[in-house]
Amino acid sequence: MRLELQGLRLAYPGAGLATISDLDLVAEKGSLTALLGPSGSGKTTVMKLIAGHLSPDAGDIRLGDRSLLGLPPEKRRVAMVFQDPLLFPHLTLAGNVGFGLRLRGLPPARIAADVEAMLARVQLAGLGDRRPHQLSGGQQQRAALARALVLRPDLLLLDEPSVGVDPLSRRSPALTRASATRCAA
Amino acid sequence: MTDRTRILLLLGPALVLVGGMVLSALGLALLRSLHLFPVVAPDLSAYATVLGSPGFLASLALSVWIATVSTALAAALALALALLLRRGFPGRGMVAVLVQLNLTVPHVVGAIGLLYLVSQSGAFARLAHAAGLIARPGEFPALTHDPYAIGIILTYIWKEVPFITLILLAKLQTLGEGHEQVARSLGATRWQAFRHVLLPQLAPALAAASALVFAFAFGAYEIPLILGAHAPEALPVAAWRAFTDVDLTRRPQAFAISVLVAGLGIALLLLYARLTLPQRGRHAG
Amino acid sequence: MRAETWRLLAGVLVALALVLPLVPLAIWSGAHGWRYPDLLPQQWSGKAWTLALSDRGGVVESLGLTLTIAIATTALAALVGVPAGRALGLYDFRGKRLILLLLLAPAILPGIALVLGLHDLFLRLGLVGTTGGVILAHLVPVLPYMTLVMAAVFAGFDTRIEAQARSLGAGPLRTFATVTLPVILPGLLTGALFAFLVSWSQYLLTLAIGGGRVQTLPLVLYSYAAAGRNDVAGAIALIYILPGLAILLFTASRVTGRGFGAVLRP
Repeated sequence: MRLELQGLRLAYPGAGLATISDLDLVAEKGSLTALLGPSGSGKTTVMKLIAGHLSPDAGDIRLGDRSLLGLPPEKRRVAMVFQDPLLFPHLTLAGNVGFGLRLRGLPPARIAADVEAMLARVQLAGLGDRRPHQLSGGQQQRAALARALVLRPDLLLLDEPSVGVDPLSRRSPALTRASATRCAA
Repeated sequence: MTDRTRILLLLGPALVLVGGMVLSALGLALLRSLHLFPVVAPDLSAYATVLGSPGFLASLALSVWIATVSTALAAALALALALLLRRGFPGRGMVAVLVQLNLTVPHVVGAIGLLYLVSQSGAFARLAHAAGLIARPGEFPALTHDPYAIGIILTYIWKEVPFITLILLAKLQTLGEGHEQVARSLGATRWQAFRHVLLPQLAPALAAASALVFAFAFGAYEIPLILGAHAPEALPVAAWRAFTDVDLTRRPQAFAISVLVAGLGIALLLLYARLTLPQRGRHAG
Repeated sequence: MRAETWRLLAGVLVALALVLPLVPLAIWSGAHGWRYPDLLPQQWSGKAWTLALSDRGGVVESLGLTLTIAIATTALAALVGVPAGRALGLYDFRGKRLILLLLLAPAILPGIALVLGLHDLFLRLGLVGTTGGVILAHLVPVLPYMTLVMAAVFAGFDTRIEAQARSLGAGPLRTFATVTLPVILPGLLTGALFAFLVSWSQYLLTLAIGGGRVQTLPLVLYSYAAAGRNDVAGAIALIYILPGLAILLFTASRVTGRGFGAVLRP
């Protein structure tokens, strides 16, 4: 899937977010694109625009052959991993990772298998019954990544992917082998 | 000075005052209801009389009805109002101030205001008359001193929706919108994000606030006094009437009612503590 | 229609509902008779206000008494509640849950559950019918409230600043006055204002312990309403909600969101 931003503009993104003016960007299928810039330059704003948590004033966001504008976040097949892990505190680790799969109505056995495999990929095997507050910062970050990856999104957005991830797991297999187009800031 | 002594000195006066008054009040009520004080002649006759009297059972049923309906409606409306106030719209600040203002209005004022508003000769009845809907006051639906306690319930809803709303708003502010955005990114619709992510996280605060409202609506006196029917009376009114009856033999019965209400209150207290106090040695989950 | 328009409409409805019960009270207070089915009084007059504000009505006297009771209760609660809140906010100890449970009890136990027993207790202490007795009784709901608010305040208090002041040569009292008090003051003030309102709003407790001789504003308000003097009742009701209004305006700028949860009572 090719991601294309055309003349993206947003004047009032809300509290704590930077404005965007006339941004063009192309990310090819299977590529890894990094957005670099000082804090406050709008990296998070761009990702929230692509994920559908904000609407641009002007411009277009295209993924593959369709425009994402007007689609609600859940229809975009874009998974965003936020800077904070934001694991759901009322669910276990397995409950968190399986969240999106359950929404798709997959059979429980299939969900359990997918979750188990994904936990192993991010080196969290055997921790599925833990609550988020029982995990370390790095484990939480990897769990958040697993929760997005398990859905095999067309596009994976990672906001500050190295924050809170311990050095060893920064080169985790999940990060290097994902087949989606990835944008990281 | 060790920590232990320091804690004791700091807490002592408060514990003596609150503990002394609350525990003696509960203890005395229990003793008096059992005819154990001041003269020891223990028997359960007060409880037998109370539990066997149709008047008490009707009052109990009425109070349970009032508390249940008020709490359920107030909780549902407060949830909607909190979600509304979280979003931006013109005049949002104004509504937020009115919600807080309402919280400071004493219940007795709300009850009398509501009486003048919805009684059969109240402001709404006058409006209905002006609109040609009714000819005489008696044709306006009885919303006060009525068997369904609608006026009482309306007063509780008016007072407690702001209370629960403010508790939920405080909780919403701590939660932020991050979890819902994540849920949306993972394929949840707006409704699913609310149902599976936001609501479970709000539930403990909502339940705790509802427990407080239930206890209050069950045990408050002045609202049913002003808006209630003569028979059956809400339990607190019935208990106070028995307590102040010239027939002093009814006093133990009043104490028996207060002990029964205290039993329900202690159950609610334990539920509330479970929901709000940090659990030692267990995971908050 | 846009979502924002719907929210605006809902907001207007909510605002109306919140104000509505106060409207007839205000109309009555200025009415010279307001017969059914008149939408508005035929004649307006200030007689309800004149009576309420004169010596004859008993309202001014009652206002002073209610203020005295609420201020005295709040001051006592602060005196006892600040140290207790400090112990609960700063230390973790065995039996703390039990103490919290005891402090929550007056807020959650239905009024009627405690009032009859309290009456019996105060009767034995010879305090029924006295203003002092009513103040003491008001401490039952107010003191735990104050203590819990102060516990929340002290939970966010860093005792190292006190140690710092001590090592700079300040004695314990001086440390409290110049370091601790200024830091806890905003929380203490907010807690005290809402504690005042808790006492201010008491009805059954005052009726029972006051034994009919301590006539606070809510009791006088009810007497006039029960006697059918809707106009005077309207005027008293408006006077009665003024302190709450003032407190709200005073705290609204500072009490928002997170901190507000700790000071709420139904």
